[in-house]
Amino acid sequence: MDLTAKRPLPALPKGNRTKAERLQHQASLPVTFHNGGRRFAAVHEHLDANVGTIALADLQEGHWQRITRRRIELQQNFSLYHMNFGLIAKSRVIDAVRRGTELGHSVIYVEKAHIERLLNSLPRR
Amino acid sequence: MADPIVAPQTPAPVVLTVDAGDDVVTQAGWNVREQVLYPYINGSVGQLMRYQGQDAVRANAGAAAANPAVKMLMGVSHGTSGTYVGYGPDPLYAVGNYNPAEVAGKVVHWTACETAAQLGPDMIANGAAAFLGYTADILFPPELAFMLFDCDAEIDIALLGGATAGEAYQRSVSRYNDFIAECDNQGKGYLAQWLAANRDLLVNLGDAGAQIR
Repeated sequence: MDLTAKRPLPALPKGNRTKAERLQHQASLPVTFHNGGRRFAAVHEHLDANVGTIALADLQEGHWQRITRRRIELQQNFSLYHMNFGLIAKSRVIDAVRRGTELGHSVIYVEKAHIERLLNSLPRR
Repeated sequence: MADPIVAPQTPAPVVLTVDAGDDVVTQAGWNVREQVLYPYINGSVGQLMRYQGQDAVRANAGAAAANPAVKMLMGVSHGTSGTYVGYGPDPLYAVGNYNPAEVAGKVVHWTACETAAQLGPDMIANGAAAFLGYTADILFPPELAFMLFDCDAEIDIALLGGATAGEAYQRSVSRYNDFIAECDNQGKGYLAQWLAANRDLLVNLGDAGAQIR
C-alpha cells in the first residue's frame, strides 16, 4: 500500500432495499407538522404549496422531539453504537429523545440536519 | 496478506497503540484497524508497539510511551473530555495524571469520545506536538462502523506516509467526504448525515506541521 496515495473506497454493504425503495421510504417519513402542529407532514406534503405546513424554522424543540421519535419508530431496524455505552437499542434511543438527554439531543441534531439537507435537495412545487 | 509497501526514505517511527476492545463498539474499531492499518506498520514504515485488550492499561502503556523513540500514541477506546480510558476501565491518560515526557514532541490520536475537549488541549500544553481526536460523543448506526473507523484510520496512514498532522486531518476529512458522497449516491442520505456529524467532531490541535518521521 502506498501510504501517500488516496485509497480506493471499499464497496458499501448493499442492504435489503434498492435505492428507489430507500428514497421512497425516506420520503414517507415526517419532516414537519401540518398547520396547528397536531398531524405530522411528510416530504411531499411540505413541498406542496397548497398544503399548509409549519416551516422548519418555526419548529420548536418539542416538535423536533416528536418528529425524531416518530421517524425512528417508523424504521424497521434501528440502533446506535456509542463509543462509551456500546449498542443502544431502538427503544432506549426513543426514550432518550423523549427525555431530552444528551444522547437524545445528538439524535435530534442529526435528524434535523438530515431533514434540512433532504428538503434543500428537492424542488418545491 | 498485506500489499507491498511503498515506504518513505526516512527512519521508521515507533508507534504505540492502545486499544481496549472491551465492548462491541471498541472491538469493532480495533478490528477495522487490524484490517486497514496495523498490517502496514512494519519494516521501514514503522514499528508498532501494541497494548491491547487486557494489556491496555496505564501500568503498561505509560512507561512505554515515555520512551523518546515513540513518535506517536494512538488507539481506539472509551473517553471522556478529560480522560482516555483503557481496559477495565483503566484511566490511561487523565488530565493532570500522566508524565509530560509521555507526550512531549509526539503526535497523539485517540479514537474515543470527547477527548479533544480537555485532554487534547492538556496534552498540547504538556508538550505534545499535535493532538487529533473528537470533541464529543462518537455515535453512529452500526452499519457505519467500518466506514467511520476506516476514515479515522486515514489519519494514522497519512502520518506514517510522511504527512503533517494538518495534512493527515485533511486526508481523514476527505475520506469521510468520499464515503458521504457514496452513501448519498446509494440513497443512504441518513447514513451520510451520521458520518458528517462524526466528521465534524474531529479536530486537529497543536502544530499542524508536526510529523512523526
